Amino acid sequence: MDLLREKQRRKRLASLPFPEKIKIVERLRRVSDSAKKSGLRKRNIVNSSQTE
Amino acid sequence: MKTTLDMINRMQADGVIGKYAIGGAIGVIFYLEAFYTEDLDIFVILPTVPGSSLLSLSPIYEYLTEQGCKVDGERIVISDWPVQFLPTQGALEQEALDEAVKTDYEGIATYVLSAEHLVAIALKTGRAKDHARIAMFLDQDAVNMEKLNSILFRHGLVPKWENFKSKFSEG
Repeated sequence: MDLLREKQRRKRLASLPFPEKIKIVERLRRVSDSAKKSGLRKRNIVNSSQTE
Repeated sequence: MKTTLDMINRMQADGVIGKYAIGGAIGVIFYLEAFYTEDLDIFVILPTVPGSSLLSLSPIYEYLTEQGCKVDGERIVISDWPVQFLPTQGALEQEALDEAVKTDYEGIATYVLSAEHLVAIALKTGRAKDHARIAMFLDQDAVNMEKLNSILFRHGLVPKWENFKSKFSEG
């Protein structure tokens, strides 16, 4: 039942207009970019505290 | 994306590239649900230089850098979208471009590879992520199996398909 519901959810998402789907991708890319930047900042803080 | 596609169309109108179509992950997203991807793959026919059989991406890079785009490794960033231009190599890719689907992106005309050609190219490329994309197409019944079988047969991909199917049905 859950599998069927998941399949229906995916079909619904697939039927969105192409520009709307691209806007979702662009949002995902922004989230990923900011996560990468924040990870980089954390790593820099750790590295600088280790060298201090 | 609109500006990116507009720039690619201008490049085509200026004769820098020939026929083109969106492939890769964004091509898949045209037919299926959206998922994360970093770049836009453009399958393209490059105009041949008289007296030379070499295909070069240099004219594309020169044109776009003159427009202010930045090169990022194998990709060139056009209005926030890293774009990879993939010159057509082989009969399958050539056929895929010939049969690309015309669409409209917020008033900008563009072309996307057919679902069946995307599956065939993914099968030919054969990385794990390509197989995952094929599985998505099958799972959502988003390919015309008769058309796909005919493409696979024409391009000698039936053994690869049988191999993929046996793995897919195990999973």
